[in-house]
Amino acid sequence: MGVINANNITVELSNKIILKGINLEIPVGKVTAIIGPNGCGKSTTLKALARIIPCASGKITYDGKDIKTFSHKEFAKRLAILTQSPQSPADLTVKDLVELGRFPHRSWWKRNAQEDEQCVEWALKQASMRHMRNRLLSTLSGGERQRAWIAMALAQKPQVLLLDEPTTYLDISHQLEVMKLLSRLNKELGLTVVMVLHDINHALQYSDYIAVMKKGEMVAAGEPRATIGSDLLREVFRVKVDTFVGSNGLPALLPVDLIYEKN
Amino acid sequence: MKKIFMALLLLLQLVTLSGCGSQNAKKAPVDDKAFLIVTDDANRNVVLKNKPERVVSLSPSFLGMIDAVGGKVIGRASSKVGIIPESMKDAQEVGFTYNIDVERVVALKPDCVLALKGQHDKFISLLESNNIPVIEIDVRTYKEVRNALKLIGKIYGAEQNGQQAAEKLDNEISKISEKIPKDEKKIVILHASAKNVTVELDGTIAGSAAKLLGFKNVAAGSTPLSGDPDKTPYSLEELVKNDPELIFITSMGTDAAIENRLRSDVQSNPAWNSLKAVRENRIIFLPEQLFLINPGLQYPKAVEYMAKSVYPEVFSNAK
Amino acid sequence: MQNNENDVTHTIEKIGISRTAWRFFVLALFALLAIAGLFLSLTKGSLDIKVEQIIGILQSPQMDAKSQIIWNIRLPRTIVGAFVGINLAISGAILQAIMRNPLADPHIIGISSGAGLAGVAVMILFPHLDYLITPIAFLGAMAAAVCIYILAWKNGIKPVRIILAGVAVSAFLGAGISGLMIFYSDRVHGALMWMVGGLAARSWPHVGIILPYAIVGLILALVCANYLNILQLGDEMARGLGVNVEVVRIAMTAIAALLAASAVSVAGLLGFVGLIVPHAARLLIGSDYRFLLPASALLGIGVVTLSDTLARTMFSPVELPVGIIMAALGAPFFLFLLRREI
Repeated sequence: MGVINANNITVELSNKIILKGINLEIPVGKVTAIIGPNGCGKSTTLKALARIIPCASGKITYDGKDIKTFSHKEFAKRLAILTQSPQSPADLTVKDLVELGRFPHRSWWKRNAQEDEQCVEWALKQASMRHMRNRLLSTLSGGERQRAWIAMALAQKPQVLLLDEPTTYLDISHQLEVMKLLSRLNKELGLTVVMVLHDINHALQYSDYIAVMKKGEMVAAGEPRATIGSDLLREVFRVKVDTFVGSNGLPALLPVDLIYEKN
Repeated sequence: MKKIFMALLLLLQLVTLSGCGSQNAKKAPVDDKAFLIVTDDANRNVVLKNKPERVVSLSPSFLGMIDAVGGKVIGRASSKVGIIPESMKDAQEVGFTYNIDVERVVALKPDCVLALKGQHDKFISLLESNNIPVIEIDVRTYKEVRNALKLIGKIYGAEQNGQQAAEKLDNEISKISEKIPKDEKKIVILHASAKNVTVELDGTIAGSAAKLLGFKNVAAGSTPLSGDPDKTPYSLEELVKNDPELIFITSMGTDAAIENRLRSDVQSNPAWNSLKAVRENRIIFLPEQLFLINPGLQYPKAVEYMAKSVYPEVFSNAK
Repeated sequence: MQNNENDVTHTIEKIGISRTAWRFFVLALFALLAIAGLFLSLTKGSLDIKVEQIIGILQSPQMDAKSQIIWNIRLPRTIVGAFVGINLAISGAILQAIMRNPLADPHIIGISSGAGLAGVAVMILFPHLDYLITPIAFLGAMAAAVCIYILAWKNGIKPVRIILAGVAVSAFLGAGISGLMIFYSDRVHGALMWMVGGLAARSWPHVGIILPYAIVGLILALVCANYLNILQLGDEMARGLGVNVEVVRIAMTAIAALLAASAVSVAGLLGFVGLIVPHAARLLIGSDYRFLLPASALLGIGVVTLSDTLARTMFSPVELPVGIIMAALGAPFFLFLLRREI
């Protein structure tokens, strides 16, 4: 029983079926990667898990409890999501953004400014953004900005962090920056991480559990090296790959050829 | 961005419309054989080659005057209020004065059209291109009514009648103004609503009547906002400063209910109550039939109404 | 948007003060403007009345012209003007957040057209019900807002749909207003004045009308500033942070509608305030709604009272409706925005 369990969920958008009965168990305290070709529904799955889009049928539970039974704020205290390319007003500073992450913990009557302040500092420290707290988000590099958003998510003090393609628009060094940060957060804080990834190598190297999707269905799930084999790559991604082991001891793939679908 | 686009579009429309606007005074070719050459109230020189036999009146206000000079019309504007002389009731109706059906007018093949200045400007070029002479007449102030009578007399070749009718009006009005004391009361004429402060100047019917009775309109001489030279939004504070003795209100409706409503609106509003005249209930309502619609020959009636309501004692004794 | 907010930030950095200090400075500036507006509105007019005299009159009013003018004309008119400024400015600020569109304002959402059509219909078709214009205009505004919401609803509300629905409804209602004025062109005058927006003959009854809405609306808006801040991150992130986006959007739109409708019912269709004031405030104070809302309110007071004073005194004794001054201010402001490209 994972911390989040999706049971046969379907999601429709504009009368089109995007997810066709997905089953997914997110293991607690681990890093999970959801991968698949474009349009397979991985973002949709993530958003459904985060309860930011509704499911047409099926059930999702968090810690055994149906997610629909949580209040909005209660759920936001347990699970934080970072969507792809989120918007922000032009004059928002890093600190402003991270403070917004405290929203689920604030209420009309309870106003613990000290606790908020401490939490914001902690989140900034975890993401190594303390020295940039007064910088405008719009002036940061891609990697820095991503870390700022992660800091905001951390300020929610969640147990689970969901990220939708956190590295897709970043250059190589920033990509690694973010992946290493997530890894560290997972190991040091026990944060359960679920991320939708485009790069199969990142998935291989940084996750403990992989779910592979194609055309709205879950095709395979399990331990990365076991799950991602040449058959899967051929079927789902239609590529032929060479496998290496990097100098860090982790596996890596190099796509070498396309495989065309036999009609 | 959308608003800027709309603003530019509006500007374009305004520029185009002003280009299609009023015609300049045309110099008519001098023709000795013409029946009549007149300069109408819009400063246009109009030539009537022959004495008009098929006249269309675009305003009901002209009908009484036409009748007074012994003339007839083949077409007239429809009207819900106002008096239509018997002989003209059967004339073809061409729509209400603010909504004339110009096709019907042209279909009647008139040889002269009497139009209300300011109201019917848009039809002039169309009618003239159909060789129908149009004479624009203004009948709001008393002076304009007198001139109209004389002009209409000329148009129908009955100049004498026109003259006499004008003099008759003069007499009736002097009879009324003679009766009343010459105390030059300070007055203000409000237009129809308690929600805003719009005052009428001398050029309206009420303003004109007030002037004939020797009242002093506290708003007279103000520069009106363009668009309507006879009414202008006025400062309530100025009114308080000028302290008029009497307030006339021209209403837009014949209902007693409307009048009662307006009265209570004005009296229940503390801003209006800063005027002494409101506090002491010296408010007189001027009915729509006499003061909103051009009274024409009924001018003396309008003046009489005003005089009677201000000096009821004078007129009840005279009975 | 990117470049221009940075301009202010860079200026702040150059001067070397903290952002919070700057924001309080701007608030103080707007407060000063508001006070200046209130001051001028009370002292200037057909009779210039000094402050000492005003205080004297307030303490022991006489029956003379000056007392009358202050008590019954200028004081309530200034108060109404101030509240109208607050309500319209905050309404515009809220709508700009919810629609995530810096050009949103009560006119776009169709509230003004709803109030306009209802008001004009009464003035022209039912003049004996003239005293009911305020509540009827209010109902018209709320009805238009409801219509727009129903039209825009499709599994929730997206800002773009509201704006499109608002423009459509506005156009439709506007046609209705024009139609009424054409078919009843003899009764148009009073309606036209109302449509431009003005504060002539506004007195204590009108204060009574707008006051409760202003207070309620103001409190609600200030309390919800944080929700508005979070909405700026986009619907999905806002949901992720625990905000019930649909409910909040509807509630905030209702508050904006309430504020705008109450202003329209006492002052007529006063344009531009809801659009220009929050936008201008945002350019100086930034998009944190905890500061932007009070800033908009203060600036709204200043703009409306100053414009009204100008309108009253410019062509004395003839009085321009304040809506004309607002429009005159609006045009150059838009050109200014055009140059900076918003």
